[in-house]
Amino acid sequence: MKSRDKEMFVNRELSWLDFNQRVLDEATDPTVPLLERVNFLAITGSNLDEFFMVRAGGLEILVAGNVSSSGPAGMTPRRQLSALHERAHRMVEAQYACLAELESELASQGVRRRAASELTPRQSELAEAYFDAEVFPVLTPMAVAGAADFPLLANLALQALVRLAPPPESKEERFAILPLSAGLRRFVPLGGALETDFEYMPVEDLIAMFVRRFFPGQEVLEFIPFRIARNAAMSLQDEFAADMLSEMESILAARRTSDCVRLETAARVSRSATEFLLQGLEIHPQSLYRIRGPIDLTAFRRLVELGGRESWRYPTWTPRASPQIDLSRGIFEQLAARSVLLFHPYESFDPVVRMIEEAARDPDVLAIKQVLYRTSAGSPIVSALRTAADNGKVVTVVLELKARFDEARNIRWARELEEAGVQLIYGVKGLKTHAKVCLIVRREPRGIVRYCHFGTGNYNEKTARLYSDLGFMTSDPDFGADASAFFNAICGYSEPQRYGKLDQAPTTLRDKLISLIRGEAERKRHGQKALIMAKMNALVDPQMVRELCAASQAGVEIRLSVRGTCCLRPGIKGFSENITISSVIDRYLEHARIFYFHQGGAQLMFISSADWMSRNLSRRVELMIPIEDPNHRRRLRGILETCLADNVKSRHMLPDGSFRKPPVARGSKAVRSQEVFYKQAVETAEETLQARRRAFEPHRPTGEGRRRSR
Amino acid sequence: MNARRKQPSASEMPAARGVETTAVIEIGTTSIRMALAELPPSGAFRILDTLQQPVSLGKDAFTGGTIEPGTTEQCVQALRWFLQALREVGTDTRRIRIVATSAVREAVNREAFLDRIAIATGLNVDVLNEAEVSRLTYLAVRPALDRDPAFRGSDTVVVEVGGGSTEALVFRRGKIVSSHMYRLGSLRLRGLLDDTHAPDVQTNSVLSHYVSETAGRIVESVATHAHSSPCPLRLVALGSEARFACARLIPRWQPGPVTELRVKDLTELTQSVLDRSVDEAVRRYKITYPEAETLGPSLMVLTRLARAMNLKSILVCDASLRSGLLAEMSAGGAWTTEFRRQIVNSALATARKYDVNMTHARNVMRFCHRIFDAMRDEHRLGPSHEAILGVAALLHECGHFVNDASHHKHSFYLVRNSDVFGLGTQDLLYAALVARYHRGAEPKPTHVEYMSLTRDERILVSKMAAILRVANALDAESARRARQCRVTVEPGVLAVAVEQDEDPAIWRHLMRERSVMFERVYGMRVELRPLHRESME
Repeated sequence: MKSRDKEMFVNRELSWLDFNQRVLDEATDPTVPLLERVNFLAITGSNLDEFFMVRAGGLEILVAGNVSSSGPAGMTPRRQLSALHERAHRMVEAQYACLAELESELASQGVRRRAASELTPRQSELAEAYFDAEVFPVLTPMAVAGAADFPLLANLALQALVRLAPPPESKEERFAILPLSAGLRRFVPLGGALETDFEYMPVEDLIAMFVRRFFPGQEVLEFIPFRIARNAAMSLQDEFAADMLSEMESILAARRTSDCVRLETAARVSRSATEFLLQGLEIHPQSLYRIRGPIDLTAFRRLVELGGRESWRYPTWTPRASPQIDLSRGIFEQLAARSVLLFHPYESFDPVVRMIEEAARDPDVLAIKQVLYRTSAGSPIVSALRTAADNGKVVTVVLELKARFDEARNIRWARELEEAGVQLIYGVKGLKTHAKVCLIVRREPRGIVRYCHFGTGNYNEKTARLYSDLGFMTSDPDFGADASAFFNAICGYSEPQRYGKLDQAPTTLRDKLISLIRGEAERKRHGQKALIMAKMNALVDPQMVRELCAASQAGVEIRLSVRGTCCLRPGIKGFSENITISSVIDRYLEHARIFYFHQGGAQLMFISSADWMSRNLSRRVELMIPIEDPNHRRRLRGILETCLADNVKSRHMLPDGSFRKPPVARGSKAVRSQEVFYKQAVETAEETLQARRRAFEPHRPTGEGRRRSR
Repeated sequence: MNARRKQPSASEMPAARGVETTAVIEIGTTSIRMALAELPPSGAFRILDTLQQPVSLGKDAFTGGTIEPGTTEQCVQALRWFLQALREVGTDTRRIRIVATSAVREAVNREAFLDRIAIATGLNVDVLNEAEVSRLTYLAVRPALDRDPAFRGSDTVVVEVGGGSTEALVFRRGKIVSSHMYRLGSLRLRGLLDDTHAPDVQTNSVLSHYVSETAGRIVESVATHAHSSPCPLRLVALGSEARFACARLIPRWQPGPVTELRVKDLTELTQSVLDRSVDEAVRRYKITYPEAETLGPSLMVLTRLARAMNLKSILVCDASLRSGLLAEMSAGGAWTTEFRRQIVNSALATARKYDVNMTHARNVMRFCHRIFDAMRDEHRLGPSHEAILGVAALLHECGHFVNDASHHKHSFYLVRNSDVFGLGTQDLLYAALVARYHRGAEPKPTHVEYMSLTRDERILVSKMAAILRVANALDAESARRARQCRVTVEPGVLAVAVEQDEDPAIWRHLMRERSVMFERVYGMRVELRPLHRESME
C-alpha cells in the first residue's frame, strides 16, 4: 500500500497552512462581526509565527542536516520548505489584503491607523510629546559594523534597521539597529475627531518621524522596521537532563540564540539594507517576507480589546450551568450518585474548579493529584492546590514544562507550588504529559472513594471559555483505580499497570484505535453495518491514515471532523471514497476529541486528549476514556453528528486536499453547530431552573456546615 | 519537601470508620509488588491499587547466590515509593504485611539484605517458607475455584512457575490432596541456558528436557491420588506470565477469576516468545527486562505440563500471593478452620496412600483435638500446632506400610518426606517426630533428629507427643469403638470421661502405661471416668 502513499497523503505543512487559510477565511467573512474578524486575522498571525518557529524550523534543521528522505506525501524536506514558503508568501499577501479591507471598514466607524502625513496639527503635537516622553528615553540604537558583527536579536520582537549616510571621507554606509519592543505600546493612541473615535499610529511609524534625533549630525537614509522568527524546533534531550527545570530555562535561553527561520521587513527596502539583513541573519531569500503594512498582525489584538463597540463583536454567549451539577450542593455527594459529562464552553467550567476547591477544604480528602499542562496566570485551580497543600493534604502536580512557549510562565508556578509543599513531578522523561486528569482521594464511611475528572482540554478556566472541550467527572471505582494507576506510574511509584477502562499513549492507545478501526472493517466484510465517526484537531499519523483508508476500502463509512492539519485525502476512488472530512472554524476553537465506533451496534464512544498524530500516539502521555453511560453516549453522538452536519462554519475537504464550503441544498436547514450547542445549553439550563423553581426544596445544613458548628 | 508542609500523622487522619486500608507487599524474584486494599469489618477485601517495581533479585539469588548491593538498593527505593503511596491514602504502615519469597529465602546474604531493608525503610520482611507459600496460594485461588462449578467434580492442578521453583497444588474433587515444590524455576532455566551456551536451535531441546521431566513428576503426583473413580483433569495456572498469555491471546482481556486458554494458542505463543531474544521480547511485548528473562521458560513449563496432562485448554486464574495474604488478613489469621480442614484432607490423602487404618487414625485425631482443646492453658500452643498434631495423629501408623516392626520409626521418615499441604519442612519434621514418639521410647539424647532441635522445639514436640500417646490409648486396639468422650482439666488431673463398655480395668492399665510421658511433661495424671449420656448435653 505504501507505494501509493502519495495519492493518499497530503503534505502536513501544506495542510496546516490550509487550516490557517480557513481561519483567515473567517477574517474575510463579512457575516462575522468586524472586531472578531480582526481577532481572526491576529490569530492567523500568531499561528503563522508558531508555525515558522516549529515546523519551518524543523525542516530547516533537516535541510541543514542534508536529510533527503521524503515524508508519506513524497516530498523531500527541501521541497517541502520551498513549497511552504511559496504558500506562506501567498498567505501573507492575503492577510494584508484582508487587513486593508478591515481597516477601511474600521475607518468608516472611526477606528483609524494614521500615517505621519495624515496627522492633524493637534495629533502631530501629541505624537511628538509622546515620542519625547515615552519613546526616546527607552530606546538605544546599536551600531552594527558589518554582517559579522550582527547583534543577537530577540525572537518575534519588532526591530528597526537604520541606514545612515557614510561619514565624511568614507563611502561606506553605516547601519544601526533599534530594538523597539522593550515595553513600548505598539499602537500609540492619538485621539480622534469624535469622542468615540480611536485613531492611532504604530510606534514604528512614530519613531520614523523622529528617528534623526537618535543620530544627531548624521543623515538617516532609511528606516526599516523588521522582525525575525527563530528556530524553536530543536528537540528536548530530556533523557539526559539532570534537572528538568534548569534545562527548560536553558532551552528558553537557547531560543534566543537559535537560527533565524523568517525575516519580515517593511515592503519597500533598499537593496543594500536587504543585503545587509540577509547576510547578518544568514537567511535564505525565500525566508524574507516583505510586509505591506504593520509587521506582526498579533498587534491588532489591541483593537479587539477596545471598549464598547458591542455590535462589532459576537453576541455574548455566557457559559450555562450544567443541569447535572447543582453548585449549591457539595460536588462529591452528587458525583457519588452519578457521573457527569460537561461540554465547555457552552456549559461552565465551574464544576471542575469547584471540585478542586472543595477538595482543598474537605477534611475527608486525603490526596489530590493532577496534571497541569497549560493553565492561566493566577489560576483558581493552582491556588486551590496550594490551599490543599497548606491544609496537609497530599498534593501531587504533574507539571508539563514542555508546553510550547509557556515554559516561562510554568516555571514560575512550579516554584510557587513547590513552596506550598506540593509534590511536583516534571512529567515523564522523554514524553510530554498531555493527558488531562485530576484525581481526588477521599475517605468515606464506605471506604476510600476516588473522584476523577478527565478532560480533552487543559485545566485553564480562561481557555475553557474559548475552546470547545469535554470533561467527564465520575466516582466510578474502575476509573478511580485507573487514574490512581496512572499517577502511580507517572510519579514513578510503580511500573505502568494494565488499565481496566482507560487506554494510554504511548502504550496501548494506538493499538486500541487500530483494533477498533480494523474491527469495523471486519464487520463490514461480514456484511454488518460499520461506521466510524471522529472529531479531532489533527489527523497526521501515517499509520492511522493507512488504517482509515483500509477500512474505507472495506466499505466502512467514515465521517471525520478534523479542525486543523489533515493528511488524509478523502474521497479518492478505490482508496478513501467512503471517507468524508470536514473542518469547523467558528468563534470557539474546536478542541474536543470524540471517537465513535459502531461495533455492531455496541456504539462505543470515547473522549480523549490525543489527536491522531504521531507525537500524540507515540511520544506523549495521553488518555482515551470510554464513555459508557447511555445518556452521555447519546449526547456525545449528538455532538459529533451536529459537528458533522454543520453547513455554515464548516468546510469540506476535497480529494486534492483543498477545502470548500459545503453546498447547502435548497430547502435544507442551515446548521451552525456552535450555535446549536449554545442554544441547547441555554434551553437545558432554563428547563432545569424552571424545574427547580417548581419544586420546594428544604434548605438543609450541609455536611460541611455541621462540621464547622461542632 | 518544604518545611512548611504539615504532614498529618496517622492519628490526625479522619477516623477509619470501619473500613481499613492496608497493604501487602511481596518481594518476588522479578519484581516487588504491592496491593493496596480495603478490609471491611465483614466481607471480602477490595484491592484499590496494584503497584509494581522491577527488581532482579531472582537473577542474583538463583545464579550468583547473593543479592547484589545494587539490587538491594533497587528494592529499598521501590519500597520507599510504595510507602509514599501508602502515606498518601493515610495507611498505617505499621500494619501492612511484607513478605519475601524464594529469591530472598535462597540468597546466601539474606540476613544482610533484610537488615538493610529494615534500616532503610523500617519494614520487617517475613520470609515465607514453602508451606506458607502453598497456604497463601491456596487461600488466593480457593475463592475463584469455588465459583467454578466444575471444580468439585474434577482433579485440578494449580501451578505457578516462579523464578526459582514451580509450585503445584493438587485438588481432588475440590479437596486439596497435596502440595509440591519443584526446583524448576524460570530463572534457573534461563541460567541453565546461559551456562550450556547451547546454540539457538538446541535451546529448546535443552529446556524441553528439563521441563518435561518435572512435568512428568507433577502428572505422577496427580495420578497417585487418582486411584478411585477417574474424573476430568484440569490445569490452573497462576502468575504474571500466565496473565501475559491471556492478554496476548484474548482480545480485550480483562483479568477475571478464571480465563480459559487453548493449549494450541499457548504453544504458538510460547514458541514465538522463545524465538525472540530478551531484547526483542522487551521491545515487542513492552515488558521489563526481568520479565522478559522469565517469560519464555515459564510459558514453556506451562505448555509442557498441559501437554503431559493431555489437555486441550488450561485455565488462568488471576490470583496471587498478595490476594492470599489479603484473604488471610480479612479472615483474621492464617490457621482458619477451613485451612486446617484442607491440611487434614491432604494428610488423609497421604494416609490412604500408606493403607493406614482410617477409623483409628480419625479417632486418634479426634481425641487429640479434644485433649488439646481442654488443655489450652497448660500447653499454651497455637492453632498451627494443633494442625501439626492432627497430621501426626492421622499418620502416626503409616510406618506399617514399610514394616510392622519399629513402625513408629518408619512413620517418622515417611511423614518427614511427604508433601502435606500447608506444612513446611520444619512443620513436617515436628509432625514426623510427634508420630515417631506415639509409642516406644521417649525422646532421648541419642535420637539425632530430636536433638537437632532447639530446646523450645524439643519441648514443643514433647508436648504434642504426650497428647498423641494419650489419645492413641483412648482408641486402643482392645477398646476400639466409635466412642464419645469428654475431657476436662482439674488440678493435677486430666479427666477423660468415656463410654465404657469394655473392661475398665484393662483400659486403665493401658492408660497408665501410655500416659507416663504425659505425666512427666504436664505433671498431670490421666483419669478415666465413666461418661453419662446426659453429661454430653
